[in-house]
Parts: sequence; C-alpha cells; structure tokens
Amino acid sequence: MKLLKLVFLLLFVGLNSCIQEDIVDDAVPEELRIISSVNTLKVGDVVKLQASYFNNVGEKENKNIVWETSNSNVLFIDALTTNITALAEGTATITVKTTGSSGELTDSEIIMVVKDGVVVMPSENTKKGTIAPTASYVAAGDFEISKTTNGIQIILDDNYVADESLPGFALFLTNNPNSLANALQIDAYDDVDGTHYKGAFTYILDGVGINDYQYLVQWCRPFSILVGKATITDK
Amino acid sequence: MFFFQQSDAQWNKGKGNGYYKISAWSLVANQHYTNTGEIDPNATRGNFTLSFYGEYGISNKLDFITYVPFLTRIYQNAQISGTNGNVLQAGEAVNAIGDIDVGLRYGLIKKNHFALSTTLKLGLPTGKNKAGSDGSFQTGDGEFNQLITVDAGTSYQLFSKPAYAKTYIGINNRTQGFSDEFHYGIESGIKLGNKLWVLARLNSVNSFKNGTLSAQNSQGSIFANNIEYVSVGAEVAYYITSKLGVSLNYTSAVSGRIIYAKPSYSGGLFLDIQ
Repeated sequence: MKLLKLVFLLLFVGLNSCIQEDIVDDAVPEELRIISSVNTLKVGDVVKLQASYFNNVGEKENKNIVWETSNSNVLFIDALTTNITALAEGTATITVKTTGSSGELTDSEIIMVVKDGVVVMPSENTKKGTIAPTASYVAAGDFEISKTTNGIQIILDDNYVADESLPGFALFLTNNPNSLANALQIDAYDDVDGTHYKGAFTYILDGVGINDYQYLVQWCRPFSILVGKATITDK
Repeated sequence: MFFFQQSDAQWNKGKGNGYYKISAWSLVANQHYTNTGEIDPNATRGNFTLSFYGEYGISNKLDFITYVPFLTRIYQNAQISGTNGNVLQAGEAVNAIGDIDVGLRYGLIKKNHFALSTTLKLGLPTGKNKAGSDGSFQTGDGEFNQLITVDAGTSYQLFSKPAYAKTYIGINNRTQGFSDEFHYGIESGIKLGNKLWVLARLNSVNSFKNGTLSAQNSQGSIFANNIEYVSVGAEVAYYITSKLGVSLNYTSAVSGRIIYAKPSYSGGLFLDIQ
C-alpha cells in the first residue's frame, strides 16, 4: 500500500514537472525604413512611397511618419496624402522621420527625376548578404535577393551551408535575429518538399518586398537556437 | 534525443532472487553538446521519467532484466521576451511511455570473487518518436536495438570494508538507419557501515557513424543520430531494512555530442531480494 502511495506521489510530481519561463534577450534597435524601392521617376510621375517603423523587438508598428524632400522643385510631397510628384529633372533626397522610444528615427532615399520620354532602365535594387555562424554549428554562404514580378527571390550561392546535424533546421527572414516572433519561415525540416542544406538554390517568395526584412537567419527551430545570421544590405 | 539513462548490469542474482526499483529521474538542460563537442545554449528542456527496473533470477546462471519507463514527461519552457514580456513561444509538454528494455543475463564464470557474464538487452520502440507540436518531444527513438555486453566484476575488501568493481563493454546494433554504438563502463562501490553503499561509475557511448539516417532523408522527423558521451556519476544506496532501501544518483556528461550538457538526478526505492 505504501509503495502504491509512493508511485502515485511520483506520478503526481512527474505530471506536474513545471514548465517555467526562459527570458529571451530579444531587444533590437528601433528602425524606420523606407520600404518602397524607387530610384528613378519621370517628370509627371506620382508615387506613394511607403515606410515602416519597427519597434525594439523588430515588430512593425503604426507611427506618425513625416516625409521631407531636399528639393521641392524636383520632388513635391503632398503632406496630406504623402504622394510624391516628380516636378522637374534633377535629384532629391526623400527623408522620413518619426519619434521612437529612443528618440528621432530617420531613413532617406535618393531619387533621380528624368524628363518624360527618357528610357529608364529599371533599377536592379539587389540586396546581398553573407551568413556567418552564431553558434558552434556550421553556417555559411553568400546570397543575393532581387525583386520578381510578385515578390522577391533569394539566390543562395554555391558556398551556402546549413548544418545537417541540426535537429530541426529552419531558415527565416526576420527583423529580429534573436526571436522568431515576427519572422517569415522560408524553409524548414518539416516542409513537405524537404529542406535545402548545401550549395546553390533559389527561393521564390511571392508577396514579400525587397526591403521588408533585415536579416536572413538559420535556426534550430524546436530548441530555439540561432545558428547562423546574415545582415541584408544593398548590393 | 539529447538524454541518456543507464541501467547497469549486476552479477547474476541467483534463482528466485531479484532486484526491483521504482525511480524518478530528472534532467533539466539549457545547454547541450553540439555535433563537434562544443557546448551551446538551447531553450530549457526537461525530461522527467518514472521507471521500473527489475532483475529476476530465472536460474542460478540466467537473469531476466527489464527497464520500463512507464511515464516520461518531455517539456520545454515558455520563451518570454525580455523586452516586452510577450510570449515568443508557448511552453509545451508531452507525457507518454518511453522505450522499454528487456533482456537476459547469462553467467559465464563465477569463481571466488570474480564473475563474468554476458547480457543481451533489447530496446523496444514503445515510446513516441514524434510528439508535440513540432515532433521534437519524443519519448523514444522509434527503433529496435540490440545491445550485447560482456560484464566482469570482482569483490574485495577496501579499508576492511566490502567493496566491488566491475566493467563492461558492448555493441549496440541499432535499426531504422541509426548508427551502431560501442558502449563501455566501469563502476566501483564500497559499503560503509552495515546499510550504506557508495558507488561511482563512468559510462561511455561511442557511435560507429555507420547509420544512413540524415537530415536529408529523415522525412521531417527530429532525430539524434550519432549521439556520443562520457558520463560520470555517483550513487548512494541506503538499506532501510535488509531488503528495502532508497538510492540517490547524480550523473553528468563530461563530454559528448548531440546530448544535453547538464546533470541528471534520480531517486529510487528498491527491493533487493537475495
């Protein structure tokens, strides 16, 4: 009888082994980023540029954003609609501003205005990055990101490597390399089509903007281990 | 994956004799040995196992052995943002039976203070090899393995107190693409007073790295192939009566690959009939 009581006591203890909390240091610098990728306009063009504010965990948040132009004779900004009109040939810098919890945040983009009729070669606006290990596992490789008709493509170079010994490998685009809370998973061990671990490969991602994310990261997803990180920069 | 439990061989029990033990085993780890033997952090995971271990002497030379982890609880802590307190990943737990071992030990030589035996232990895939929201809360490896060992032991007097030392080597034939393993271990104990045994042990598992299971062909399963470790541990066993006793154990991997890098603790109530 005593043995039975002991077994039940152990069962009770076992079934109630506590799930506690791990505190994750997920702070990142706040950022204001121009999302639209416009480098060249023709005189008479009207565009609506977009910018996003990312808070201190990399999460997109609504903020009042102010748009400014360095030369209103070239680019005019409608304060109400934030539409930008190309008025005359030349170059102007568009600047966005907002106030974050850490102070003023800005981002800017140089836009060239050409006269109507000039054939404008679409800007490639390509991004690039190099994955570096953040843990003891193998993580390496260069990549480029370019726009497609409906989104972007991530082109991994021949030197790309993810560690095959990782239990639960996954690849993400994110604005916070320390958390997967707002990350976009683009490849994972449990995908129906499997996972890519080594060598050249191209991911096609529809509905994703080229400036939407700042990092490409490799994770061991089940055990929450960041194993590789690349900052996405302009090529 | 990522954990180990070891039940050690003993000398033959003798016909009708037995050793039975109910244990609670716990391992909580926020770091692990990587595939290169480095120590890296991970989300805190816990493994709590309630088990029954039994040895029964079928004859003077043949023992039946079993290990039944009748409750294995695998859990992971909730991941909480240190910046805003939001839940980044909810905590999760799975309760299930683990992989059961059954085996036979056959006494080869028993002469004076020396004993040599061989043991065949079969690992039955009774646990869940895919559990939880992402399949990683496994309570078993999903494969049927056969571990055959040769065990040698001797008893002697140390500081005028009863003592023993034993060792084993073994080969673990694993299936389902897992690599086979070479096992070895040593153990030594001494009896202090009339009721207390204190012992220390070292166990090691080494992979032959001959398995075909890989990340590329695992079909979405989480697996830990080619686990290796050297663990050291200490145990005290106190006989409350001549047959009934309690034991406490501490074991930690001092090196390893794809295994948790934190110590485990266990406590048990045993019945030693001889």
